[in-house]
Amino acid sequence: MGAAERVKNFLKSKTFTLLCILVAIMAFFWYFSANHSFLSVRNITSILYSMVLFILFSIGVSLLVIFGEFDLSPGYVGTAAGATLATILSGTGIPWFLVMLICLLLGIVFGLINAVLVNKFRVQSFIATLAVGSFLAKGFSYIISGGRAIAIDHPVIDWLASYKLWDVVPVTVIISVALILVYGIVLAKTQFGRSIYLCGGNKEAARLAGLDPKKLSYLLFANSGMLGAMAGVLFASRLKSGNLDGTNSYSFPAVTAVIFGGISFGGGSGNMVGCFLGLLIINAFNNGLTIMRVSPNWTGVASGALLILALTLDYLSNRRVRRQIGGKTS
Amino acid sequence: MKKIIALLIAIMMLATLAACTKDEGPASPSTSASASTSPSASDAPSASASTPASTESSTQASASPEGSAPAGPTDPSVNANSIGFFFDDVDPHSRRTYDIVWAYMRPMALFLNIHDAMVELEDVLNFKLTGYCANSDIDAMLQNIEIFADQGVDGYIIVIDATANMRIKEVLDETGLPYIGILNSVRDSNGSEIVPLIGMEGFTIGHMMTQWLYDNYKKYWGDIDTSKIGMLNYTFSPNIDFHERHLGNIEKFNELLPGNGDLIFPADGVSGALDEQTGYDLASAIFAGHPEVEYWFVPSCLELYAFAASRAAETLNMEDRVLITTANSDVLSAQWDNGYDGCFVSCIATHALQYAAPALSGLVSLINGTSTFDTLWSTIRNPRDLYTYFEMDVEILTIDTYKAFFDRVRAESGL
Repeated sequence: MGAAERVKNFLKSKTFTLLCILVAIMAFFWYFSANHSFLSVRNITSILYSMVLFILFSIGVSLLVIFGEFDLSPGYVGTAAGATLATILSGTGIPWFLVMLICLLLGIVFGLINAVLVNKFRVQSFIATLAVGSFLAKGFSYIISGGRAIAIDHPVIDWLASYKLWDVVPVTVIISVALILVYGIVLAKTQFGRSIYLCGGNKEAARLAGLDPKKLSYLLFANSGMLGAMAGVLFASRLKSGNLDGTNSYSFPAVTAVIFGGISFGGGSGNMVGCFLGLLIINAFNNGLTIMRVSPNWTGVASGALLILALTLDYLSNRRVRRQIGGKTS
Repeated sequence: MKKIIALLIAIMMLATLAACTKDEGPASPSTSASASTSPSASDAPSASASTPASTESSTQASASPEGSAPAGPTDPSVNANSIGFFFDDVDPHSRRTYDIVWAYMRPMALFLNIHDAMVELEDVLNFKLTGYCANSDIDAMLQNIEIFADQGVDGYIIVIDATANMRIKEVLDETGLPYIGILNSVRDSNGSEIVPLIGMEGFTIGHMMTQWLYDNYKKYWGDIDTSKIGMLNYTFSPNIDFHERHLGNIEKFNELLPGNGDLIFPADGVSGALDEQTGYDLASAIFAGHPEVEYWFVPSCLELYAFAASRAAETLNMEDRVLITTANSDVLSAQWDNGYDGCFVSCIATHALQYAAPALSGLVSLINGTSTFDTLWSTIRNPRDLYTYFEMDVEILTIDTYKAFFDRVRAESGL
């Protein structure tokens, strides 16, 4: 493929559309923010910092959506992991790294429960993950913490919450960006990544081609649970407490970002670059609204408009693909 | 085609955003741009003749919330009126317009009314208010506190959420800007209040509510067998202030009806949320599950729960056997305005101006430098507290008295 062809394809891609939207939003807020502070280093860091938890949730959800499933539980799993972290750290002498490992394992367990419900009991993933998240994981948070927010006072948690590389970039930003990079490479460049796309496109065809969609499903749900738990640990470290509302409300915005980033509900398409850009657009947009002092009553409307934009793009894109396929078959 | 539609929607979205930004009237960039994150001496007003000579140095001291008391100023709030409004010695219109953020966690009637009351005081105290609701996202609140500081705001009035209060205080302190809390206390391990705060002391409120129910039940139920009175006692246990109201209710109930201890039924909203549905679910289950209780006292820590209990009583046809009261009066007074006269019969009166007026006068004096965390309201401080918990002057209202109360507060506010 020649350079001209590649440029032409790029200009037709969702990534280019997302970049256009990002540039438009950046330019708008830069122009209208006081002292053009929207693009100051501090504010850009602030935007990236606000993305950290969503990146972790979105990675897990993205892989599942590409695979053709759905996960609404990671937000609740994150809360359960945060409550577990706070409870164990404050009430036992277990070393911090073991506590974190327990939290991640907890996330994996919730993920596997999702997978069992979906694969063994044939429950739709939307319903299964909603039930596991909003009942099992949420209930677990209350039980383990005794219904109280538990304060965390631990040097490692302090470090995780506040350490900044060169006094500018929070360590959690580095962790999350590194993770999305690694997952992006795995998804785009490895056999494992390709098998996710293949299963998302057509599970039966993938099975006939020698893949094991069920096994993959277990892996991806467990992975999503683990990333949710990791996000919950970071959230608890930021707040220095295991909070019972925790990250419960983070699942839907993460899904919004995933869809906005061009990962289709139908499965089999999308990538981590789009996911990252989607998150960047949404968080930059919310940051800009705050800087512009837009009333909180309007921010919901504005975010809704963004979601509608995302869904419209997804619909138009799918329609174009369907037409192309239809044209070729006829 | 896809690109064109995407572009059109994006343009429409940005145009809408621009329009609503203009409507909401953000602080003018030129004003906020000139404001440093810590008020400097030059920002202080040149002052009227009566301005204390030490204003400049005290302004510097106030830049740090933990700043020690300046040598000169005493507590300027000693001249506060009955709702806590006061002027310090700085003419508000001789200085620049301050940029103040009112931040709260949830879109509740109380917070929205406080917002409106604050807006009414904008001209009086010469400030521009930005309202910010975190929509229950604490992490977003922490980040936006920093973003507002970067944008050059002068100070915060904030509801410090009980579930992460120490972290929120830490972030506020890191901004170096003055702030005043509303509603939720922030106490250290010794029980000392460590944030200047406007609120209602939990135990006192609990005692007041239960005492009122006991003093007035005959008016509604006549001369009944008191051994049949039970209590549905709401709480939201993660919030220490709400929970203290709950404990105060229990203490008073046991004192007034010592034989009825078994008829106290806690209803902890932690199983759900701070919303009406949670209150309804708890109340309907408890009402229906305990037929041994013939008459119910329902003191509530939260208005929405109280209103939910009244709906549950109505649904179960027990309105004539339930008496409900609550802390704060925003929901019930609106209901009374609409003709409500059910079993939700009273509330502890709080006009939004009772929160807004002392909070704003206090914050402005902190920004002016005429007071510090240490000197502000120092004359009324409880000895156990590091900084002052400003207790509002409250009373219990009924449908017969609420209008007179609100008229009086408004008259005393000077608006």
